[in-house]
Amino acid sequence: MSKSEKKIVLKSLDNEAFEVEKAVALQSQTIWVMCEDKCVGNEIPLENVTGQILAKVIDYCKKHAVVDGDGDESSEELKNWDTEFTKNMDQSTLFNMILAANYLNIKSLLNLTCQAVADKTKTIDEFHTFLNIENNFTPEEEAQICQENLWAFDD
Amino acid sequence: MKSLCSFPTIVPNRRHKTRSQTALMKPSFADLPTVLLEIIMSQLVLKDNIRASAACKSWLEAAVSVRVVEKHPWILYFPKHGHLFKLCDPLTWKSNPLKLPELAGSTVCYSRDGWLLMHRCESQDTFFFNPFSKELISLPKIDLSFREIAFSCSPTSDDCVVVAIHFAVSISTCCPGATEWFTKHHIIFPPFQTQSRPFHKQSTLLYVDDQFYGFNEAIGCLYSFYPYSRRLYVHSSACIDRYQQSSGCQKTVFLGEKKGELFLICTSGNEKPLVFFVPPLLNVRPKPAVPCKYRKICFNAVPCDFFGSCMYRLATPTENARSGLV
Repeated sequence: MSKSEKKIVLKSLDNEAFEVEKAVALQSQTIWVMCEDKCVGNEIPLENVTGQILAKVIDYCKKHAVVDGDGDESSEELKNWDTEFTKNMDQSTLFNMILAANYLNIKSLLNLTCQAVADKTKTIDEFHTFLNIENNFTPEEEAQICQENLWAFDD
Repeated sequence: MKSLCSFPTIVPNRRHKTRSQTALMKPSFADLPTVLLEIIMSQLVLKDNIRASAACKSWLEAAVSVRVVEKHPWILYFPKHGHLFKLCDPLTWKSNPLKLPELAGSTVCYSRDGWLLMHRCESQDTFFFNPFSKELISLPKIDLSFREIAFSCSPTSDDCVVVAIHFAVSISTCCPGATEWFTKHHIIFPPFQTQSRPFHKQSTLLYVDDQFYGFNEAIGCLYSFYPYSRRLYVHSSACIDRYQQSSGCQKTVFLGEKKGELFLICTSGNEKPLVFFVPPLLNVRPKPAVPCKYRKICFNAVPCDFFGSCMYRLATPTENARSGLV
C-alpha cells in the first residue's frame, strides 16, 4: 500500500481540508462507513462540522489512535489527557463538539463531551450561566418538580 | 511503530474563513437533540438527574426518560440525635443527607413503593411518610398493640390497605382516609389453637399478589391473609421440619419475595443468614446460604420497595444507627 492510500483528506463545512492518517479518521464510524462503501474518493466532505471543531476532533482521534496503536501511554495518562481536553473548552466549543462527535459517530468522544456537560450540572446556577439554559417552567411547574423530589434538593 | 503524519495539515484551498454564525453565538444546551440530552442525563446519578430535570422543559423530558429508579432498596439511616437522616444507595454507598423532623421519635414498621409506614411509640400514632416528597398521611389510632404491620401499595392509591397483626388471634385492617380500624378475631384456626399468643413469634409481613404473607415461628408455618375477604389461610405445615432442623439459637425471621417467589431469611447473630426458598406454597426447603454480603439480598421487583425492618436489620449488621429501607 502506498503512503498516499493510508491518508485521507477531511473537508469541513467551511472548506478547511485536513490530511490525516486513515487509522486516525476511521475512529469515526461515519467516516468508516463512507470509506467502506467507497462512495467517496480520498476526500471526505463533512458538511456539519466547522474547521475549528474538526481540528479538535482530529486532535482527539490522533491521541487515541496513538494509544490504541502501540500502547505507549498508560490508560491513566490518556484519561488525564481527556480531562485536560475538555476542561478548558468554552461552552460553544463543547456544544459543537457534542454535535460533531454525534455526527461523526465517535462514541468515546461523545461520552467524554457529554460527561463534561454532566459535570457542569452539579449546581442549578450553572444551568443558567455556562449551559445557557433558560428556565421555561411556570412557577407552579417548577414547584411541583421540586416537591415530588424534595430530598434531591436538600443540601 | 507506525509513523504519524504531522497534522492538521491545512491544505491551502480555503475559500472562506467565515465561521458559521451559530458557532459564534453562545448556544443553549437546552437545544441539543433529545437523544444527546439523554446521553448527558444517563451519566448522572439519580439525585443529580432530578436536579438537572428542574433546569428546563427539554431537560426534564430527557432526565425523566432515562431516569432509572434503582430496583434495589435504599437504606434510610436514622440519626442517634437530631433530625439529620441519611438516604443511602447500598450499591454505591453514596449517601444523601435529609432533614426529617417529621420522623422524630418514630420507627419504621414497613416500607414499599417509596413510602414508609411509621409508628410513634409515645403517642401511638401510625402514619405514612414519603421521604422523597416529604408527604405525610395519618392513620387512625390503633387500639390494640400490634406485632407486625404492613401495607399493600402506595397510600395515595385507592387500593391501599394496611394490615396489623396483633399478639392475640386478631388482625386489623385499615385504609388511608378511614376513620377507624376494623379488627377481626380469628378463632377457628387449627395450628394456632394451642398457642395462647399465636402471633408472638412472627416473621415480618410481606404483601404479594393481593395477600399478606407471614411466617409463624412458633409453629413453623406460612400463612396468608386476604385483606378484602379478611380470611386467613395456613399454607403448609411441612415446612416445620425443615425449619426446625436448621433452628438452633435465637433467630430473627424475615419474609422476602423476588419475581413471585417467596424466601424466608433467618438471621442469627453474626452468622451468615440462612435463606429458605418457598416453592409455590408447598413447603420450605433450605437453599445454600447467601454468600456473606447481606446487601445482595434484594428481593423486590418494584422500585424502591423494601421489606420492613427485615432489610434494615440485614443491611446494617455493623451499624448502631437504626435504619429502614425505602
